[in-house]
Amino acid sequence: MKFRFLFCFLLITSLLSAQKYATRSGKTSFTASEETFEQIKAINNVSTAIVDSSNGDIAILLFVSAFDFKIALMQEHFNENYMDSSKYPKANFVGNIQNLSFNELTDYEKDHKIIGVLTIRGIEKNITINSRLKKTDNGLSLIADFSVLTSDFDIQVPKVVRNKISKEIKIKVDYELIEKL
Amino acid sequence: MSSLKNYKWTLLIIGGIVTCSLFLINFAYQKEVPISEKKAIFSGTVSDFVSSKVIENSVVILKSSVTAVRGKELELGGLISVQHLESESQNFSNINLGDLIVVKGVYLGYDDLFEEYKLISCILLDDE
Repeated sequence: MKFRFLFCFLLITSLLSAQKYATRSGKTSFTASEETFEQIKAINNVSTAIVDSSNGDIAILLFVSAFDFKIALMQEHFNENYMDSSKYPKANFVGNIQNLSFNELTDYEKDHKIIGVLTIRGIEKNITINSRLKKTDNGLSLIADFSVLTSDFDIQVPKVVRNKISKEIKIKVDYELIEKL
Repeated sequence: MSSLKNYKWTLLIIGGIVTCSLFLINFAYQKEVPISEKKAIFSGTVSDFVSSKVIENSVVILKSSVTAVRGKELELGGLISVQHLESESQNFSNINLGDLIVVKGVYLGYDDLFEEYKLISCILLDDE
């Protein structure tokens, strides 16, 4: 645990000092519903991310309470009953974009694996994400889809809604990163 | 006479079910209170805000000069990142570097990546 914390600290420190691309308004969305009348989905439009273009290191941070639901009551339940966002306000990912050669990126999407540690509700989980990267006029576009299990992060789903909430949460990230001066 | 009584009971039960359903639907689909109508638990300058340790997800009002304009996002006092509601785009588009502004928004917390405090769903208030 201490080693991981030190690793994250060193990674974030190195990201802050190297040539990097960043966003403060990354879109992170998820869907967590089975076939239900009202879909359980939300979007966070204020995710922050930094990518070090020299070595592919990436750090993402988002505030759980910033997930925006169509139904206010659903948002309240999400924060209070499932994510416990007052106790665990942030979720983060620290990892590395494999084989990133920034100079070889074009305006066509290219597949890259991202390997790292996702932390939700204070629980760390090693994950591999398939992402698509491309150069844009202002910097870099990163799109990725991946899934996580509610059980991996100790998210308790009450029996009464168990058939409405999927055990597998589908997450999508869509970030437009611009060069950070 | 008896069928009329049954008819009344049926109507009463159906009416009760409809009323309860409408109440439940109204409760489940209630709209979130707009930020303009929410009570702010803090009102002051950036330095007062930083030293007062306001709890996350509270509504705050800040008065400060704009220290950076980054597209749709502003920076106040070199420490606060301000992201506004889509409906406020027109008002925020007129703001320039150095302007003294008053914003009301939701304080999310401290962003360790950018080392700044994050304010979202902001609206612009008149400086009084």
